[in-house]
Amino acid sequence: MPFTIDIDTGGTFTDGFVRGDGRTVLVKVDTTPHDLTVCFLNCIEEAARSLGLPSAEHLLAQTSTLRLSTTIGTNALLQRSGPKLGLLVTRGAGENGYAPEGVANPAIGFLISQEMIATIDEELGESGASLRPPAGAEVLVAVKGLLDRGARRIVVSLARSPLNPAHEQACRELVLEDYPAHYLGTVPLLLSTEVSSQLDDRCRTNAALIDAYIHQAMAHYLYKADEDVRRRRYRWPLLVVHANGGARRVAKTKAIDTLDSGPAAGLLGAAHLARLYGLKDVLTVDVGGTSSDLGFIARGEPYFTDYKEVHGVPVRERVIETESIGGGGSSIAWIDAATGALRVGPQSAGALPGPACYGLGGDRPTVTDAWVTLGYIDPEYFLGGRRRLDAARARAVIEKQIAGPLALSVEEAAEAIVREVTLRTAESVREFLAARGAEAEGVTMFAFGGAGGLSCGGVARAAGIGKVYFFPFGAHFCAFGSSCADVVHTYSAAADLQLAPDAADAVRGFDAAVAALADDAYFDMLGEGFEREKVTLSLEVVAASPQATEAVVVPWLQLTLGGEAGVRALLEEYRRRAGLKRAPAAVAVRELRLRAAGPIADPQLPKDEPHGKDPAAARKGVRPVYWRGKLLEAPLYDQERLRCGNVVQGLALVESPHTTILVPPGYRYTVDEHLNAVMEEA
Amino acid sequence: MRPAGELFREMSGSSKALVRALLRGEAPARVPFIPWVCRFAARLEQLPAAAMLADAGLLSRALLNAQRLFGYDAICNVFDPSLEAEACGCALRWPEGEGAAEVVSYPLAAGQRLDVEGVEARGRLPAVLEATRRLVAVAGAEVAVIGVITGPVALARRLAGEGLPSALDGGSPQAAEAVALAGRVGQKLCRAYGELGVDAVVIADDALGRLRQEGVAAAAPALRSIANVARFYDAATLLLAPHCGAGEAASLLNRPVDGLVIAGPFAEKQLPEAAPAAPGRLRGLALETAALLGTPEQAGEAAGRLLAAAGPGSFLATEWEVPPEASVEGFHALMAAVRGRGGS
Repeated sequence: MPFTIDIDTGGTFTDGFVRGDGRTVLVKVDTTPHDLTVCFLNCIEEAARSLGLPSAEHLLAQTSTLRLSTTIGTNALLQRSGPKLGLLVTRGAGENGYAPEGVANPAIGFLISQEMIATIDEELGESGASLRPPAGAEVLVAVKGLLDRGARRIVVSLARSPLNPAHEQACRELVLEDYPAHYLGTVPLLLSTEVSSQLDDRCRTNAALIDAYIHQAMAHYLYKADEDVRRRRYRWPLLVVHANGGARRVAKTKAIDTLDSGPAAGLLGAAHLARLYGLKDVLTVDVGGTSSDLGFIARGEPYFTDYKEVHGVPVRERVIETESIGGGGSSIAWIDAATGALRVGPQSAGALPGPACYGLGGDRPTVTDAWVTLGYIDPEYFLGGRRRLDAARARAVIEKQIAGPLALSVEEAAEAIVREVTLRTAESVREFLAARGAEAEGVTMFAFGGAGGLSCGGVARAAGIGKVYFFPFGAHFCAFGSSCADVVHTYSAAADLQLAPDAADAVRGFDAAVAALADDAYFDMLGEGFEREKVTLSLEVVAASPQATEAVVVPWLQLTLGGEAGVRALLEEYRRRAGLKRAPAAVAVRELRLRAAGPIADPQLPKDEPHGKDPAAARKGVRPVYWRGKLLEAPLYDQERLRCGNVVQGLALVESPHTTILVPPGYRYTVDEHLNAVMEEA
Repeated sequence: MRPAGELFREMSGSSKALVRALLRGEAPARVPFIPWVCRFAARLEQLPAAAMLADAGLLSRALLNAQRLFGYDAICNVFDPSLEAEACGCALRWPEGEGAAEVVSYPLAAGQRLDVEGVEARGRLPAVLEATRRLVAVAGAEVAVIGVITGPVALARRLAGEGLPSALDGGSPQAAEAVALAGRVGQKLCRAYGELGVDAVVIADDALGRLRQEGVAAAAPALRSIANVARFYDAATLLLAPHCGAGEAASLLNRPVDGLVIAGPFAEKQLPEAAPAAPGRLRGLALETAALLGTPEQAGEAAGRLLAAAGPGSFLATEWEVPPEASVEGFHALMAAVRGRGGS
């Protein structure tokens, strides 16, 4: 059986999830920020070693699928290491990046400086008709100005261009005439309509700016990675995981699609597990140092969003949704001077200097300091012993800044910190679920992240969620999730169609537009190796009506409307999605989105034989912990040695190099055949 | 072609821009702080110094994390006077924990012949060069990266024995030859650093400051050769020579390097007056090691005193490697003083 390799490159570690030949291997290597292809190859070499193969070449020669999710685009944005951009916009509309009057576009000053925005005179009508085409001389003068000011990549984003990209395309032709591609001085030109078909000029421009900014770093890395594995006997295209939950080969990947692809892959993995366990609604909670990230799985599918902010820059792209809330291990506890009440966050000590117990100069008490003080975290076994913590320092800052002012013992103060962050996080969780039409009672929680094991049990209880799952491969979860990604291409077309049962022209226009998208999709999927019958197409219609305040996304299983009956069915589905009492007489179709999927996902988890309820074989010892004002002896278990059927009764701690899980009194932690565990009331 | 000024304006605000401005003789927005952090970074990462100094990944990660933690203005790629000595065949003894390696055998004194060719491929130097490559690749756009070379007298002393400085002062041809040989090792390493794109090269010589005028003069050709190689790569050379008295320092200021780092009362009081004797030279006002081991208040005060004495071409540094046992809180206080002074 051929192998599949899934690799997730994070900021600190690069994780691999490799499956095949009846075996599953998890590997973790240090990320090499100077050249991310080094850790990518190290990960494959490490996997080959774990599988007992002589070299990476032997593994790659037997591999049928290799998928990669990466943070390099995010890093390029964070480090602001992209090239100097120039932006060409429509005069009178785009000077401020198409931001509404009185509102700033956060992309200006971050991705591009105001002086690098040039304007030209051109106009498209409301339906996209060319009213005033761009003048060649003016375009060339504007571009020359941008080049003189140091532009290394130019984005052309003209108002309403998705309705008719001809003006943007004309700009490209004019520039190419003067700066042909074979000249050394040629400058890459990106049209906004090549990146996004969003009619919202500001969001489309931002998407194009982000794409242009990170393109170079992504292209350099991904092509090199692709080339490196081909030289080592891998015969298929390297697939890159996208934030929309699919994967595509490098040549068909836009840089912006890869942003946040790791968390998106994690949600795909969670969706697979939700289906495996037959769970209807699942809340994923990934608790890290600075924040907790929430995701939602409804009926086995991840929740998508059409709007996201990339480091504060708004864009409209269809991506798997994750939401960041406060309440990580580094969240700082403080006393509100006005009320005298204890608060936790939103300030965070971050990774540097981090909690006081890290000994790196952090002098404010954090949640991690509280956990250390209460005995939940072993100061000698943090990160599997890679970092020793200073428990005395943790106590000292809590004593001075919290316990003293509140006249509490240090342990009482630490418990108060944990209680406060738990309640605040639970509140955010309830709001998050309510916004998605879910109620805590019917939801199961999946806990991830280094701090998830200590945080999620309490948060679930406080939020009213009955079951929490923990996963021994939680530290590799994004790589596992990547193994659940199919090859997916997405297409979209801006539209301006007034659909009504008697609007025959609009129906014909709708069907023709969808057919054109489908043709593109089949062509591309054939290039990915999928025959037409293997490809699954799904359509979404973005429609608006005067009855609804915002555009509504309507999934439309058929790829045509056909006629009056089809339109009526679409209007009815629109009514249901918009929450209207009556279907409108007509809707304005703004955008058509087509998703083409070719199946490659085949995630499988290791299976274990039943080993009985007694977890004694995994017992490491006992640890004194404070629980509700008392010092108790908590049995300590090794997560990696717990077997199928083992039941750990609370109060207990379950520990691994990556996390510590607190099983409270009155709760049990049951390990299943996949070595995952569910914690619930006993 | 974009003018250099425009490039500089684009980078202004970063630590790199600050240090590059200083090295070009322009007035930076504030006084840059360039501490010699190496084994201190190992302590912060909870790594044994010996392990870090032998592994490119650990070394580059520790140095990057230390810079990110404190935010000082340049990363030195290593600080280990035993590095070149080991590559030249000296046996080392590593103490437990964070201590520095000691040389326990002197190949030149034992009559061994040293082959300088390919020295950069021996001992731990390949790991250091790889770490330097990574530092430049990962942080080089935002933070200046400085290559550290053991000075010719310091290396010659480790190769030929403790008596070398006095022999050099006494005009011994063998001592001068040992210094010239050490200088050639320095040139090799300087060339390797230059190829990697470092912003400056520091010649760290803990024996130079103890020499008399005659000894300094004898070491000058070796220093000049290293400085010439660095200049070829558009990298400045800074001389780090602790234990200098006022006379020696004034003499060193006239040596063929771009700047001098010096500690003690001379740095605070007399160096500004000595500046006209060496126009255009960079002056590193060095914090004495004791200030890094004291309370945060002491560290902040010491930095404040030196910053008050800073003039054109001045930067703040440490007199030698930041000791591994330096106070983390003190270092944060020091950084606060530097930022407060410059308003950035």
